[in-house]
Amino acid sequence: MSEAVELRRDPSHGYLGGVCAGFASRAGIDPILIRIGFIVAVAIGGVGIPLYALGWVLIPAEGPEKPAVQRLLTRSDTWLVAAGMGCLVAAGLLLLRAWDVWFVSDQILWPFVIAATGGALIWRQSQSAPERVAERAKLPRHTVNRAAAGAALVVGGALIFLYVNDALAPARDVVLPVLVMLVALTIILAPWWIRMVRGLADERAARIRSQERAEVAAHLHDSVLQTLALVQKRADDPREVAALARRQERELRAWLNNTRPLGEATLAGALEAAAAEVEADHHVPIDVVTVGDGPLDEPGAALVAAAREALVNASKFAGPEPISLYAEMADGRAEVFVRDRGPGFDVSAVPQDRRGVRDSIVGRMERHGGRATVHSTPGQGTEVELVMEP
Amino acid sequence: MRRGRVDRTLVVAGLATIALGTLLLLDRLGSLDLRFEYAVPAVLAAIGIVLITAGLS
Amino acid sequence: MTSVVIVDDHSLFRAGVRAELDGLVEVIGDAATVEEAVECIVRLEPDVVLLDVHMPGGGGLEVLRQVAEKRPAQRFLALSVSDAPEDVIAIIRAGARGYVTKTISGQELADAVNRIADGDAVFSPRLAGFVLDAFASVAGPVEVADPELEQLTAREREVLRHIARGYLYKEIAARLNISTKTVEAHVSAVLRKLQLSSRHELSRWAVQRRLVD
Repeated sequence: MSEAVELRRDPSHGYLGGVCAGFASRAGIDPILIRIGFIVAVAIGGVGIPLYALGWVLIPAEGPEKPAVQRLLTRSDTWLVAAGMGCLVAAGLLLLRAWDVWFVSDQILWPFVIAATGGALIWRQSQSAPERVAERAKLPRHTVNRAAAGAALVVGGALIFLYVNDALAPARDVVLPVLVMLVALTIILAPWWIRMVRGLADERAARIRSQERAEVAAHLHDSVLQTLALVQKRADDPREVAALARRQERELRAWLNNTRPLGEATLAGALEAAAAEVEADHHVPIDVVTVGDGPLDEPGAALVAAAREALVNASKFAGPEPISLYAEMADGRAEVFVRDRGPGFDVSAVPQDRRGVRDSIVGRMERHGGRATVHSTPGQGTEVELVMEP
Repeated sequence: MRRGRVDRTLVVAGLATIALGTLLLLDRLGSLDLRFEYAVPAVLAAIGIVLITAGLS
Repeated sequence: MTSVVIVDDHSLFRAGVRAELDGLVEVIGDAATVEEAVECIVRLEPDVVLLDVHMPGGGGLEVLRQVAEKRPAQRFLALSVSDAPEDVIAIIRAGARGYVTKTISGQELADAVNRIADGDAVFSPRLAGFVLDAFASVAGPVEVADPELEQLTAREREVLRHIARGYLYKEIAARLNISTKTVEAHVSAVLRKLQLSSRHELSRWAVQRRLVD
């Protein structure tokens, strides 16, 4: 097969079988022109229909193919097209009548037409059972507005035309009975319609509720039940149990509140994630309080790393009392305080290994334009202050 | 409706109005004799085309 | 000793708190529902009520409301698992004089109870963080009816920050070179501002947090 563009159907872009869409893309013109031509062919003598069927069967399809009925239903504009086609058909019938080529008696035909219209409308409403279709059943407002504007223009012009031609009187004989029947049908069918629409809304609400319940059950099963099983197993190690409980509590709290997931690209999230990791590793509880938030940029990442070092340090030397992490972020300026209730130390007489850690923290902060200070008093714990200016 | 594309529905509606107006004009000028039985189908056909265009775009 | 009534719908928790507070404060009663709680409080007239926020039938807020009609001078300490800002701020504004989470230790809880009985306010570090957050976003280009009420003074902000950092009152007093009583006065002033300040601004803050966070 050559590489030239073959004639193919395009079911994903078409209404029925994508024949018109396929022709359009082959010829490089707008599908709507082909479709209008096709519709005119149908309206004239139905010659378009067998042609279309032939095309549907013979021309191979390109792309995935959805069942035609489903596709029809999921397009919200189908209603407008159907209404338009109905108008054209009615026009054709009236024309036939004018040419005295009448084959069905009046009394039967018009009520049948109106009943068919009403039935189509009701069928359309009841078809919105699948939730997706109910979504799409709302017509885009601009389309309706434009169609209404167009129709109003045409009707206005026509009325003026008829009035000038003194032709309005006979119109009353036709239009009035039609209107009366439409109104009667609407009144009769309205309660059923309303009940159906309300039933659909209730069904949808119930479905959403059961979906949510399934989500909650899945989450509980995944995390909380596992943690509870672990707790029972490790019941003789109280520190481990407390750590497990704290971690699960934090996760469940975040899930319930739908707050930012741990470790997301904000400063507060990163701090909380770092605290959670340190707590998991060293089993010393860390209380995190944050005020404000800010984006996680490079100096912010350095701040989080420095805070993490301070937390690890405090966990190693100042447990098992809880450690407090307080972070205040506003307008690009971030301040973090890591406070423990350990033995504390004399800042001026520092042993070699701890000074190494302190220098690491200070150095990290200063490399990014911030500063770090360590305050400590023997017997009253230690506080590491980290400040990052914008 | 995508931006930058001509609003088809209004164009078609305008064309349909022009067509009807032309019919009226021709009727007035005497070169066409338009009876009511032809007028109503013409109007309905015009409305139908406008609706179809709106639905397809 | 300070007399306390515990209100919580979890019987296991009530028993646990009783055991922890044993010897530190005097637990004279407990209740599991809103109606029981109101009846119990009005009858026994405790110094402090330990009040759970989340209970069926309207929760701690409902208890506060009903007791306020019959015994307006009753002091409440709110206790809860939840630390969602909306819950916390709501119960403080309804009249509770403090808020602590259920993971608090027995001794700290007893201290908090005693402090409330003395007429002061108790702020957990997290509550202090929320309050700082709330007033930080209220201050600004917003039109405020009473500026004194809508904003925190620098001193109050400093005290709150220390609380958020985990300092005890006496440690804060030492750091800021003021007396513990002054620290307590600042905290009480903040509580008053929280309770009286424009509903509109603070509730907007709470809504924002729910939407944005």
